[in-house]
Amino acid sequence: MHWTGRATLDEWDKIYDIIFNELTDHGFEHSEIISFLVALEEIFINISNYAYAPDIGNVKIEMNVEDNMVTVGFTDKGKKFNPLEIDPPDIRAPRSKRKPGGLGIFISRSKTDEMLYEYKNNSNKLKLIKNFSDTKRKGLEIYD
Amino acid sequence: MIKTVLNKNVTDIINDEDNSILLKITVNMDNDKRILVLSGPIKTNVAEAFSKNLMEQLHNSDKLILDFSDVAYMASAGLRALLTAQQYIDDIDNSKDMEITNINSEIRDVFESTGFINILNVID
Repeated sequence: MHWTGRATLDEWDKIYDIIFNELTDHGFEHSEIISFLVALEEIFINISNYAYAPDIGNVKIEMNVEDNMVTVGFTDKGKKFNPLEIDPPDIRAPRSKRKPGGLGIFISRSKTDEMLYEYKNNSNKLKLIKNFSDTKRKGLEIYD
Repeated sequence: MIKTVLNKNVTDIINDEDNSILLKITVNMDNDKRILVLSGPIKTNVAEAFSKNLMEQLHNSDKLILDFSDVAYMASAGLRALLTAQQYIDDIDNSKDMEITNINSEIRDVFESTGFINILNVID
């Protein structure tokens, strides 16, 4: 799957459906797809809100599925930003001191097996990798 | 733009501009308590309207119970909406109360990894 477009909330809704359907067609578990989509949404929203702020720019999304390993790459030409350098939020802070920011990247990292970042050709390139369990797929192979 | 249609007694619906339903909030009123049955994914695009709705419900009742049994998906913007409501209760008006119930394992996972499980009042 390759997609390039404006990094806006409305576009995310479309990409959500495309990715959801594609991963469902691959036979992955619904709950794992949902979990991965949360991780992807946080990255997309981050690009939407900050990469080109106050303007809106483009983002390229590429998804590859190899056996159970799903890789999604985001490329934008916005401000240089390495999400792997962001400190995790202080999750032990008392409630009144909890700040609303910084959660998205943290959630995204906790829901993926690997996150890779590089800055190349004036572009932020971020890859999210998740290994899906293969119970359902094995079932499909038997009945193929 | 997202708009919220307020049908006072039963269901609040958060729509997008094409009028497709993004999130349904069914409100059951029981004296000073309101049970909010949420239905739909809480994506970033509904979070602001959800937060507004939540605060409005909180102003109009003493206790909110949020039923998450029909919410499979929640982005961090949804967490922020819950945090805003909880901090209002803690810092401004602690005569109010908010409980969260029927969360699935996916959302429990997010609550646990972010420490929100200790901030919010999650009831099994």
